[in-house]
Amino acid sequence: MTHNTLTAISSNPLANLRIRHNRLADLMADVDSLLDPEGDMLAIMGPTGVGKSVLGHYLVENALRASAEEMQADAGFMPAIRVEAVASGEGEFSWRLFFQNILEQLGEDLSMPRQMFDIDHETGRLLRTRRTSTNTLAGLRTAVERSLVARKVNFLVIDEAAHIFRQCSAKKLIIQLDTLKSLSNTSGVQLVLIGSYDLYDLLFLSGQLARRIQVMHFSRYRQDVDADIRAFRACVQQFQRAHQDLWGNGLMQHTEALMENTLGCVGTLKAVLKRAARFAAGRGGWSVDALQAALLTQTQREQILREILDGEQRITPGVTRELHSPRKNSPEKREAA
Amino acid sequence: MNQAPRSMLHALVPQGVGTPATESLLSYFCRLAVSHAVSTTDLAHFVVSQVQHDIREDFDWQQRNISGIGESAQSWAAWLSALTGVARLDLLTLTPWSGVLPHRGLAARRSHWCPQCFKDDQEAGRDPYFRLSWEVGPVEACHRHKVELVDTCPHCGKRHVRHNAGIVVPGWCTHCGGFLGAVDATPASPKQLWIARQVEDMIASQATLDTLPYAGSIPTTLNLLILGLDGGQSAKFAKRIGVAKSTAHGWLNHGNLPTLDAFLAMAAHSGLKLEQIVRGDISGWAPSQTDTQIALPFDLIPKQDRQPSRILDWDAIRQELDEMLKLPVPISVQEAGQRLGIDDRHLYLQANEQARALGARWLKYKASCRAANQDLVRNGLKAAMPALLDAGLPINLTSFRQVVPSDLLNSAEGTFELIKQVRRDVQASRV
Repeated sequence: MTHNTLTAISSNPLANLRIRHNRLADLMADVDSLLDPEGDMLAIMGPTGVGKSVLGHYLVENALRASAEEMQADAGFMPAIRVEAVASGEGEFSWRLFFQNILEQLGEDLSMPRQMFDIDHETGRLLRTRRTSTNTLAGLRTAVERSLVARKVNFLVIDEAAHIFRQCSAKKLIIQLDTLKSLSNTSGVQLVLIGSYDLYDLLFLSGQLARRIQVMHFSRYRQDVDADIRAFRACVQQFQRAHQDLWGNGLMQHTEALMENTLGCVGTLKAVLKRAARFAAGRGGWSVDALQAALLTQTQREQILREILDGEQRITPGVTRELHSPRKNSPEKREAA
Repeated sequence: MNQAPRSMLHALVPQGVGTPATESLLSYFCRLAVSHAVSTTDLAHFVVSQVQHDIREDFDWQQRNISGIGESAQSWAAWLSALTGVARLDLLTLTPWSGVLPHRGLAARRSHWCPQCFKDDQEAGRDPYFRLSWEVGPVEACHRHKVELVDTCPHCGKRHVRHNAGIVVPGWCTHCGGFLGAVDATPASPKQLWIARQVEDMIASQATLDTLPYAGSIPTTLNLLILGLDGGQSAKFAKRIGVAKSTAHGWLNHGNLPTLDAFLAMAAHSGLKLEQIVRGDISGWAPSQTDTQIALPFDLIPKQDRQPSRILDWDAIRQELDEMLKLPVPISVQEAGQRLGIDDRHLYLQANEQARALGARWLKYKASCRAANQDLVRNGLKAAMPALLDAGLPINLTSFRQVVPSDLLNSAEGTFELIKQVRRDVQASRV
């Protein structure tokens, strides 16, 4: 093994690589067609490791690219932003942290304390709270609403959205969703929630919530679908090309094994291959052993597979739409007559 | 994806530019504070901290006339242009007339408004805003609505409630929160309306000025007016306008500038528009009477011949700035201005995109130089560690000064923090 090869291995070009694959492209096209300021909230769910965060990044980047001319003309314009709903480690979801994250993404300087003041619609008077030297929750919320309007944001991607709704009673769930909906209504911004399958359960505990959200499934590549096998193979090929100096053309022969081990999730595939590259660097060069050491263990795979199958079963009714043809002389028709 | 940097402050669209209802920079600043949900005080401190200007951070922005004609207005227009990415915010001030109007008598003595204008704004679905004409001293009425401007809240009866507070929403009383458009104002007199109309039209014209008016044209304009109105007799003209002979003499011979009141008087007597006189554009004006007995030389040259301001080709300047963006070593906007012989504030006003891109590139370059210097110092400290430990010296700045060259030790900011880091690393390695 030469020094040059070792240097090349240690720099790991997979670290920042993002693969744009069929499933991702199809979903992005669907999301694009549903993006509408007056449209429903979108919720994109899928298994761990399928690439949901990457989807979120791509959605925003697409929007920036499509609006490049307008952004050139208007230095304040931000067509889309992405935030993570971070688990604060406390009992309840921290809206304060969440609003601060949004403001950071909007380029706001948080050293200026935000104040809550507005015109009351009923009385027509200016309402203010006492000026504070720190950010209050109400002030942060006011700042977020106004900044989203001023920056003319079209949509806001919220990754790890399940954190907003976890540890909530059924009643609190509706309050959380109402908070999001109200933010969307006052700022005219469409919300795109991204999360794992448990987000589905949380959102659909209530029929009231269910009808206000458009659900989309970011599914994995399945080994029993030919088109999926071909698409997954293309992903492996892209990863191989990205680090050809390491594994040469030696990755493609393991496509089937990789698909089985990673359960068809491209995010998991990337994580496995990154690990493999690091093992190879540590061991002085590429080998099949390095790849094997990087795979998910049997226990890990089985656990993830159980969660995926469970999730797929739960979400299928939520994403299946059927248009039934009316039957001749159906009971309903006879009754109407 | 290579994008122009996003503005630090919201790129609000200035209202009414090019019309008699042009917004004032004061109003724009207040609306910016509302948009960011911050107090005007905090926003002012933020702006000052960003432009790194050498003024006290506890200064009171309300003491400055940022919509006027002076240094404050020029600076604040440039700073806000830099931070919002909105060019030509100087059009929300009276600075385009800074070459021909003196400060004296220009600023409004009251903070007043037209309630009907606020009502119209609300009904049109836009945020109420302050008009620039309300900031001009002689203006006491709104020409559009034919009413006197008011300075008292119709709800609480207080004065100084338009913008004199931390939390300001243009159109609402800063004391009681009531809407300031909820009052019927007194009809204005013909004189008040005429003055308002003249000033509003002057303000409307400033958006389309080809060249900035300059003081050198004033004596020529005055001589034509004196000839046409008073047969060339400047003393008679001075009496007509309501000023002393010596004052008129100063205008003609010493480069002194007439006040806005004086210009208005000239407009009233000549039938010309205020903006024409101030711009020196009175060609085609026929004197109302000619006096054949007095032949005056037309080539009167004032003793101080003030040159017109430089006419700048901004398209060419923007191209030069684009070239400067490609320089291998980034330069600051200030440096770019020096190379072009232009105040860097004007670069933000007239070539906003290029100026902001230069500024962003420069800040990034400074940050990377800072980081590189800190790495150098850190490595120097680490290299000196064995010598310190061998000598049994404590790990502090005094000890390092004995073993590290001073030019290296002083080459980066945050030396104390670097020493702390090195100390922590040593302690960690011992553990």
